[in-house]
Amino acid sequence: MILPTIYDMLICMEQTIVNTVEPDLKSHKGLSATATIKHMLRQSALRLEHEGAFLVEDIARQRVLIRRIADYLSGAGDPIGATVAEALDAIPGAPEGYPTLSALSEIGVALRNQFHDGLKALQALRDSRADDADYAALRADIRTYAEWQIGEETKLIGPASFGQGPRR
Amino acid sequence: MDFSPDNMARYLDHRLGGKVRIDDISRFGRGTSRQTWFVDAMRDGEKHELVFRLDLDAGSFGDAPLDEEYFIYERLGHTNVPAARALWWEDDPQWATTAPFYVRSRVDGDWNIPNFTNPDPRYDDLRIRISKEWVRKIAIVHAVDWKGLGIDQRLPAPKSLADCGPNYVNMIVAHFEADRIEGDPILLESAERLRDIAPPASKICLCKGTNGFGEEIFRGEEIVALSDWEEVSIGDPANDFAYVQYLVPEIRQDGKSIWGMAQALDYYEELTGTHVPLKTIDYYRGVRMLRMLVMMARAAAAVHRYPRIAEVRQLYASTEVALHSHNVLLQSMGLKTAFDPEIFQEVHMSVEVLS
Repeated sequence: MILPTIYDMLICMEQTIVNTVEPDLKSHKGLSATATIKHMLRQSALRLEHEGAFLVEDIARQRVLIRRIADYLSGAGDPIGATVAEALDAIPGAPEGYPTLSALSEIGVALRNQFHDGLKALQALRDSRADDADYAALRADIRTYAEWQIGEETKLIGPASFGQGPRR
Repeated sequence: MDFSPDNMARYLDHRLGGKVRIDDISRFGRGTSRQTWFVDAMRDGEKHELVFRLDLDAGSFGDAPLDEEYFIYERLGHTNVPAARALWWEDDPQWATTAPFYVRSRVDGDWNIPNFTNPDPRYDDLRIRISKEWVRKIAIVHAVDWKGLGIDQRLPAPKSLADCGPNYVNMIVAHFEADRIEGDPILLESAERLRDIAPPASKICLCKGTNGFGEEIFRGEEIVALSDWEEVSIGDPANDFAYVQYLVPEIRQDGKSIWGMAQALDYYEELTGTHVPLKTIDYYRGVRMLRMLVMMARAAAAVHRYPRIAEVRQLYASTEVALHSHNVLLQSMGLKTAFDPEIFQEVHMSVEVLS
């Protein structure tokens, strides 16, 4: 165990900016930069604490949805379905042991790109699938995922800045 | 580009010919999407007031490339639109060491008008005069013969009045795809919806894109240069009324509205004969949020690729501003969020304004 914790360090750094750096700054340019840095330090603390758990859940949810998108596209005879499925299979799972945030982010981004490409192909089928309940259900589930994703990201970013002063 | 006086003197000696003396170099503090530098130089007794424009070191917010901005300034030089004169494009790596840049003339004036934002009703008339001045100038932009000037060879032109909204949305999505580092299903869902609900335009014209107090250059109460053409497009004139940053203030006296968007649109119709419906402006406000998301994605890409040279405002914008854009777009699709749109106003807070 290393004390102080990373959170202690971030709080101490933020307060040093407030108590030591800012009183000596005269220009708006400098004060604007420190204002932004304080928001970013608070966000860093939140993300260090919670982003790993979010990413683990996000990766699991994305994998399920992307597989469904790939299967649907393949069932509709769209070759992009196979491309997306192959790309999905090629994206590695979580590393052994306690993962780093970077490793999880890399997986999450790779999945998001396949999700994006799959959704584009799915959107292109919309007119011809207007009466297909499976298509409608898949599209609805994608939107439900989007609600969840942004809800979680709001928890990671919002409290660091909302109501906490000028951003720049 | 190295903006040290010695290097600038060498560059302008080379570019302008003869011996150049540098009097002043400063970076413009407002405007965050790209770098803007002011350079004052003397050559053979002639004063040169120049503006250098280049991308931020790690890559800019702007989703359209810098050479498109230069192209527009160059084309505007053939019109009666008040705008700075494009002088030259520079991509010689000897001088454009970090990225290409272009140079334009500096127009004498100020972005600020004393008391324009003073809420005292004594300044209501001033606000209305300035607002009308902007409407007159944007009407000139909308009258530009974009086809005759070949602007549609660079910007995608809609095929019809009904295609204005979808064409603009497609352009935004194309910008996203051109520099995508991470997919964004919400962007795709929003784009699909915005294509679906696009209202027909009242005419097809050149649109400036970014308007507002702080974007234009005034001399007295006259706009002598319309600046910031980064979001220029060909499409619906309503697009220019969707993002006006204080230039169309809502003013009430004795409980009665005496100026605001409705009156500004009436004035525009009086000048141009074109009716722009209010609800179409709401539509373009939604589209602008989509464009904002694309710009924030570019900021995220810049920080991710080059964290050592990225600017901290890019870091901030790519997180909180992108989050707000996502939330607003989700809400406009009727989806649930725990987001209070009032909080969005906070992102405009700056230490400069508060002081």
